[in-house]
Formats: sequence, C-alpha cells, structure tokens
Amino acid sequence: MRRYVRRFARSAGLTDWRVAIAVPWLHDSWGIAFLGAYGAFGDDAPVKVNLPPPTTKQVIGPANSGVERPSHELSATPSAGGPQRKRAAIRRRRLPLTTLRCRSYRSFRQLAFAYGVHLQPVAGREGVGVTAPALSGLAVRPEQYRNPRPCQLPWPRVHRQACRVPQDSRLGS
Amino acid sequence: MPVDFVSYEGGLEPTEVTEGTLINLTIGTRDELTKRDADAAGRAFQEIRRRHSETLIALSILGYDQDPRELWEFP
Repeated sequence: MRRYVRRFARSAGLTDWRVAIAVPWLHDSWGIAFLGAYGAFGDDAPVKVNLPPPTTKQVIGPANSGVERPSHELSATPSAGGPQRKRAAIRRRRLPLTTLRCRSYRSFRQLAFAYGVHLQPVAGREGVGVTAPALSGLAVRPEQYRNPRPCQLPWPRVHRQACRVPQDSRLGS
Repeated sequence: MPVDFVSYEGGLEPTEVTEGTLINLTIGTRDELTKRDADAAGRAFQEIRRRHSETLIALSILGYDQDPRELWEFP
C-alpha cells in the first residue's frame, strides 16, 4: 500500500508538498494528509501528519486463546473465506465490481454527509461506477456543497499552519 | 438536493463543472495495486488537474471496507 501510494504520488507529480498543497482537496484527510501519511513528501517537507495509534486488535490462533496482536502487526492478506472468494470472482469478472463493499465508498458517504451531499441511487442501485481501477472517477454536483456544520472526519489530519506556503515560493519554478 | 454522477471515462465538459463539483478519484483497488495502475492513476490525476484545475478532489482506494484497519495501517 505504501509503495503504491508513493508511486501514485510520483506519477501524479505530488511528491512536492508545494504542489500538493495547491490542489483544492475536498478535505485534508483525503488529500495532502493522505499522501503525507504514506511518506509521499520528502523529509524536509513541513507537513506534519498526525496518525492515531493503531487500536484495532484481532484474535489469532485457536478460539479463546486470548492471543492478540495490534493491528499494525497483522498481515494485509485477507483470511480465506467468503470475501476472498468474492474478490476472486470479481477478478474473473463473474461479479460486477460495484457489488464490492469498499471502505472508500463508505468513507466517501461519510464525507458527503459531512458536506451536506446526498448520494442517490444511480440506475437503480447505489454505486459509484467502480469499473476501471485507477481511472474511474466520480463527480458530484450538488447545489450546495459546504455544510455549516463542522466537518467531523477521522484521521489523518494535517497541521495546516505548518503547511503554509512561503510568500516567495513559486510553483513549478 | 440533486446530485449527478459522471464517470471520468466519459469526461466532464468544462461547462459542466461548477463551483460545487467534486471529483472523487479512485486511485486503486485492492488486489490490483500494481505499478501500472499507480502510473495510470497518476496520469488520470494530472489530466483532471489539467482540465479542471479549480475542482475539488478527493482520493480513494477501494476494497478495504471489510478490514477493520485504516488504510495507512497497511504495510
């Protein structure tokens, strides 16, 4: 995951924090802080991303063995079972990709809710047109985006104050 | 509140973009996080920025809904 995001950042030209901060991100958590959490910027970048300590635990070994490991020590490989078979079927294109529950869509819904955007079914189903990986995009045009309520999004957060672009800096120079 | 969904493959006309437009760019999908996909996502991002420089953007990665960890907790 880390290598993937960093590779994306390189391909997108987002390894320079001055460029990344100039992008009109909807929210830092899904923009500059997301990239910063994966170390997309150099060590000299004045972008400090606060991440919460991993708190999720998963019981391993025999049932009731009581052995727990923090989440950051767990493997990213999904356990065998339904979800794995489902993903395999998706890879074989036996299932449409839109049937896959995805964290990002759930998070996107939360994001949309925080900004006062209501998602509506598209062509009879609630989906985001997840077809071509990496190239699929979703554009939402609500009448009013900003919500007067404060945005209560989870981590990661970035210290905006520390990311202020100096007056004499010029992008692309 | 009306909401329109437009796939990026179809493209957005410049006249369709307003101040309230958000582009949620999916930069990858679980089990398909390859270098080629990362480069393609990077090119898509650059294309979006070239076409719609003022449009709000949010990045997302699909396929981790059933995992309790956060995205940045994956190695």
